[in-house]
Amino acid sequence: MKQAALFTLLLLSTGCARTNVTVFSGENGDIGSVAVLDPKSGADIAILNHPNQQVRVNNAHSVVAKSSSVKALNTRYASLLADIPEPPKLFVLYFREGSTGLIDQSSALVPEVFEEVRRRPGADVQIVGHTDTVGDGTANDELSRQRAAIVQTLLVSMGLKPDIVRATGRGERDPLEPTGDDVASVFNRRVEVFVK
Amino acid sequence: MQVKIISAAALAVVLALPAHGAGLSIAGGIGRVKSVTGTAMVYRAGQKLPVYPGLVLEKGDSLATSKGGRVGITFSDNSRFAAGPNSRISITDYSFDDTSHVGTFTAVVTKGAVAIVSGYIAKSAVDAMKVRTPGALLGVRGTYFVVDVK
Repeated sequence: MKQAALFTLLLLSTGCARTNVTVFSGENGDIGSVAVLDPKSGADIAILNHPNQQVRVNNAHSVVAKSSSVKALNTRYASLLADIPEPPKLFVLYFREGSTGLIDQSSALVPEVFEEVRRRPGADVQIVGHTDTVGDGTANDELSRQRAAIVQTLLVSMGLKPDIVRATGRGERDPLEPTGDDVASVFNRRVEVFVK
Repeated sequence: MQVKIISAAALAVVLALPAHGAGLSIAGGIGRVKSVTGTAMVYRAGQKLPVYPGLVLEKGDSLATSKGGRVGITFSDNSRFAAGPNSRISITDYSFDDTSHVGTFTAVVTKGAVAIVSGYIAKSAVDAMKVRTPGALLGVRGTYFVVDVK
C-alpha cells in the first residue's frame, strides 16, 4: 500500500503520465462536451464536443489533437464501452384523483418492476414522487415525498429488499405535462420508479 | 409465479431486519457496483474490500482493478462508469441532493481507463463534475467519453 501511494504521488507530482480523452456520441445520439481545464485557474484550455474527437493531454500547456480513425477507437475501447452499466429503466405509476391508491393500469405494472430488479445484478431502485402545481411548493415537496413513500412501502411489503430502495420527492419541479401554477394534472400526479 | 418466489425469499430478509427499516430512505452510499469481471478491490478507510455486484460505494472510495479486471458502476445521480483493467479510480468528492438534483462529483483516475456517461450532477452546473488525472483536469458537461491514462 505504501508503495502504491508513493507511486501515485510520483505520477501526480511529475505529471509524466499522458491522458487521452475521447468523446463518443451518446446512447440517444446526443453529444455534450468535455473541457480540458487549467488546473490552477479552472479556465477552458480545450473543448471536445464532436463524436470520436480525441485529444492527448500531456499537461496544462500541451494539449494535442489526435486523429484516430473511428474504427481504431471502436477497436480500442469496444470492451470498455460495453462494460458501462445499462441505463436505469423507468416505470411511471399514476394515482387515482384525491387518493393514494394507484390506478389499475399502474398496479398491473408492479410485477414488471420486480422482474426488472431480478434481471439486473446488483440492482437498486429509486422512487421519485411528483405533484401537479395545485398548492404551494413546500406542501408539494412533502406530498411528493409521501407519494414516493407509499410506493416504497408497497414494493417492500411485496418483497423488495428495503436496503436497495430509496424514496425521494421532487415536488412540482419536474412536471410531465408543463402547466401554469395551480393547475390540476393527472399526468403530473405520479411516481417514477427507476430500476438501476 | 416468479414474482411470488422472489417475494417469499425477500420477505424473509425483510422480516430479519429491524422494523424501522421499512419506509425510510436507507439505501445510502453514492452508487452501486453493477458488474465485475476478474479481480477488483475497493480501498476504504485503510480497509481492502472485495468488489461484487451490489456493493454500495461511499465517498472517498478508491477502486483498483487487476490485470483483466473490469467493473461497472451506476451512481445515485445516474452517472455510469466502466473501469478497465489495471485501473485506479478514486471518488474524492461526491454530493447529490436528489430533490434539487444539484451536486458535485470529482473522480481521480491515476492509472488505466474509464468510460463515463455523466448524470444529473454534470447537468446541475458547469463543471460540477470533474475528472482529474496526473496531467489533466477535465470539466464534464454532460456526455459520454473515455479517459485513458498512459
